[in-house]
Amino acid sequence: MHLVKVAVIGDIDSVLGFRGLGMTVVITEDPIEAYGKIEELSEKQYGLIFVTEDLAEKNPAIIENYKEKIEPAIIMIPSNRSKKQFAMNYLHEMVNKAIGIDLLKEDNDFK
Amino acid sequence: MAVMRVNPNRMELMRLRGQLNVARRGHKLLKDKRDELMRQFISLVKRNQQLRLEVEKLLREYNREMVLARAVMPKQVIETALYSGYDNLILQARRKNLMSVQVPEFFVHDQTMLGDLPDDKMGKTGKAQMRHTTYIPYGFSGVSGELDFAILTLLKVLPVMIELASVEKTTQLLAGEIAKTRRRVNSLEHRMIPDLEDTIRSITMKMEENERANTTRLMKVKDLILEKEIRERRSRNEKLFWKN
Repeated sequence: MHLVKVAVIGDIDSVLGFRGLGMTVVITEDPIEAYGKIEELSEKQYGLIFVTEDLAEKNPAIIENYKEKIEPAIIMIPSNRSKKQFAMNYLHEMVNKAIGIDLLKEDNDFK
Repeated sequence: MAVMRVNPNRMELMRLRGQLNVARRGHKLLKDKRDELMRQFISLVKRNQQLRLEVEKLLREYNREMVLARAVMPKQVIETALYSGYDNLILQARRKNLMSVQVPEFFVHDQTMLGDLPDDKMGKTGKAQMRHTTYIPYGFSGVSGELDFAILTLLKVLPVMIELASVEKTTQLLAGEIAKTRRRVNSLEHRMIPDLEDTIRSITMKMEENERANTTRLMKVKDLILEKEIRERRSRNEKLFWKN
């Protein structure tokens, strides 16, 4: 059991409010810079980093490089302008890769 | 059909048989592991989807409220208000062992943050009020109420987001483990076990072949010896015959 800090990375409009909850907010719209920031944060006992979908979509390394690591957990959140639902599609893709069928899509049939 | 390059002798045969046994046992175990991982993965992934939908819904709501807040206040006021607090949100992280995969689990360290105040006598509204007054990090003067609503919505999202984080990280790690296990199962099933079987078959066949070759060789040698013997006896008999 140990303590971790939480950070949010994204454009100012989407993430500023999280400052009100006491999270560390990193404001950037540059996907490369965002990756650098994540590397920086992961060395400073940040165990949970939320990233906006837009950034994660533009720089796949953000998700891929931390996929196998237990910490930090990089979690996508929707930004206030994303319409494409990149995070949800990513989830679908992950399921598809792991078990061979897109289980979540069929969900509506047998729920 | 791929036969390994080994010497066809009994020693190798025994070694390979042992290997085949281990491979079969390992294959069975790994297959069970894969099935169980998948079972866990499926239930987790459904939860993951639910949580993600919920987070997306709530964050949309938050964004709507934030737009309103931005509309009634200058940007600087919002920024000053929000930056006045500390970045002090600390979570507890625990490692859990799920099918020998290490997965993290996050909890809110400061329980009061989410309104689970220790005093149960306060009703729901009391708690809600408490939350309003305690966990809005800025002073109310000069800041319009729209921002409060936005922050309160975020407070509602926080526990969901934290659960989403635990679940999503777990699914990611499990997905990796499933892929790894499946590769192992497949390589055992389609490569290692057939190869071993083929090699064992080819060794047994070669050894049988050797044995047959040996038998025929012995028969041939016996024939040769007999022939020689017969010839010798015949010549001896002839000599004896002529002597008499």
